[in-house]
Amino acid sequence: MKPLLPLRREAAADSAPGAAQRVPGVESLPSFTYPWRRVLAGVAVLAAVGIVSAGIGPVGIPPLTAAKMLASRLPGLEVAQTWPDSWDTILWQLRLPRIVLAGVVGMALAASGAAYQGLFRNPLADPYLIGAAAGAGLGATAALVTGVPTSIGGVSLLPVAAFTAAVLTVTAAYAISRSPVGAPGPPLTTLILAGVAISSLAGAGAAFLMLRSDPDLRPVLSWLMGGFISAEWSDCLLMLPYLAVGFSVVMTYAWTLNVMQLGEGHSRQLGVDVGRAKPALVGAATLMTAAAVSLSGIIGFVGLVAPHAVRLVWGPDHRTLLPVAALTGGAFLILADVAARTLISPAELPVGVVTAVCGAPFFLYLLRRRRAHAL
Amino acid sequence: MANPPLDRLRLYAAAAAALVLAACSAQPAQPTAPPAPSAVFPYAVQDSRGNEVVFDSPPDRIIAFDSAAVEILFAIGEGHRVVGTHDFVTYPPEAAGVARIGDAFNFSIEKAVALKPDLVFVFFDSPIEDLERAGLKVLYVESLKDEFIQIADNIRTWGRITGAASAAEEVAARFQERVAAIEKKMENRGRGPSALQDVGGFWAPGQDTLMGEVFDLLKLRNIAHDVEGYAQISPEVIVERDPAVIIAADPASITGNPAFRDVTAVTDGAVFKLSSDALSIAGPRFIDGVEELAALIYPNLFE
Repeated sequence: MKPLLPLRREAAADSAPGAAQRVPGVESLPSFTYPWRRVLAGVAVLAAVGIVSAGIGPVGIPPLTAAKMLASRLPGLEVAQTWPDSWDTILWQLRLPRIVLAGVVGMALAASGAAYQGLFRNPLADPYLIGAAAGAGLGATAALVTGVPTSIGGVSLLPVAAFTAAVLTVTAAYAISRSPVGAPGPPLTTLILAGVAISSLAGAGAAFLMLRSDPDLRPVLSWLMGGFISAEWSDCLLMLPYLAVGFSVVMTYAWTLNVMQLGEGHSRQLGVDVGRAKPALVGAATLMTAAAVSLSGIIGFVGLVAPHAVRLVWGPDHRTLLPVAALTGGAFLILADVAARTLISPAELPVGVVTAVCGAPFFLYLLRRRRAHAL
Repeated sequence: MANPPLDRLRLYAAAAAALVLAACSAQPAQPTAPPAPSAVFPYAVQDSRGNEVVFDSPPDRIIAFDSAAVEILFAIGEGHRVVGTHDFVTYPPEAAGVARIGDAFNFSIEKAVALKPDLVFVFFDSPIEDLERAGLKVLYVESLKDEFIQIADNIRTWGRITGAASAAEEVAARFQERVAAIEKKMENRGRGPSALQDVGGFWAPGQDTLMGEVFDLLKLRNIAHDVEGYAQISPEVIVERDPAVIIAADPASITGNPAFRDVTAVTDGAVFKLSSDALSIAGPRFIDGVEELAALIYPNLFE
């Protein structure tokens, strides 16, 4: 049976000659063999899902033709064009941007969710727990329903407003819950409660704005329900740096997250700097989530289910959990978007509906099968 | 979620009382002279629940919780009877001073009662029970969802209710004449260009909507014909079906999108924005919107 928590870096034998001389502490523990295969398998699955889904959509481009069209852009490959020009536009300007965006957004949400579940030691934590979604919703609603222009020089202000409001909301929750006595960061329970309270406040503000606004709420509602229908390459470019930086920071604290599962007090006794981990993790997760939400709306369930699914199958070591959960989240969201654009074609479903409808039963199945209490 | 209640306020903004379909079935747009309407009371209207609502005299204080009803009442010269309406009524300008009692999400029964109305007209049924418990007389008629020619009948019904039958008949007949005039001009034309309406974020009306019917009248082929009600249509479907005309709430969102660069409507400069919300309210102005659209698409045929 697997240990509930990989407290030590397993591969290193305690009796290893060098180990005894080192200063006892997390930094000096010898490193374990990193399960690269698992991560590489995840990357391969994500890439395969991305390529296959390029051949699926409301416009029936045969998968083989789609593969040829992709190959035709590879350097050094000559592929005769046997397809109409419009398919090129559909594949390169519409389908691929949304596949890539769904992938990176899914990764960001799943990584944030995994980080929050570890940080708060709360299985119900998701990337929206301490206000990112409600804040973004308020910002987006304010931008859409108040008279301000929604774009300046062709650049849409909606993502900017959503991102700013999301970051401000989480910052407010963090500042309010900061304890005055010089403790290492705010008590986590207080942070959750402050986040939930501020979320309600922001949600009420958004509802109020909607009620007092122009009656055509469709743009707001579509945005709130989330989706990749208007994804463009520029969105992917915007999202990537947030994912790269946020994920790197979260990964840096993977081991800290493992130790923190013992509770804050024990972690400190083990020499883990919880005080620095809290703002770093909250900041990284918030940046990733805010960027994701501002580009694709509020998509539920990915950030909650993907980490749990990975945890149930491969255990709770954050060093593997974080990357594999991110890759799983990306692949899951790409597939959910395939369903969103094909199920009621030529119309589209909000992708958030799909993630909930597919995510919930799958998750219950995993729970049932594993009868896991390792959450 | 395609039609949240608040949204419907504008989109399917309801018409007034439903009349028997017989009155307008066979040749809906024929401006045949109907029997001279008489301002006779009692007058009974069938509501959308199947009940008869009987009027013994014209109501003097009407809460018209519906954009279309407000427009109709003002158009037939009975706007002075309107004492209350919902928050989103923007037309006619004379209605600006009418008291507002809420929207589809919060209908203030207290404000409604305080206005001492002798008729409350609603196009959705959720507030009916509360209104009736407060002792108010309620007329509930659902919004028109197709057959916009019934707008004429709704105008006549309001005429009968307010004792202004002949004024209403004039407005209704004029409406029908203008529809008939368009029908006549379109009569000998073949199928026109393919078209799409994007009311924002790729939300498009299907064929079973008032807009779908306008498309039929103007012989436009709705590329979203297989969409039910209003739905978000896939952008790749727009590229594939290549509409020659796009009516967009935000034309820049279409013309500025690189994916639509080769769509005929974009290359031909046929991405239009309508000048008003006339086509989203089933009132007397609806025909203004139809005529504007007709002139945009067939500039030589309509001026």
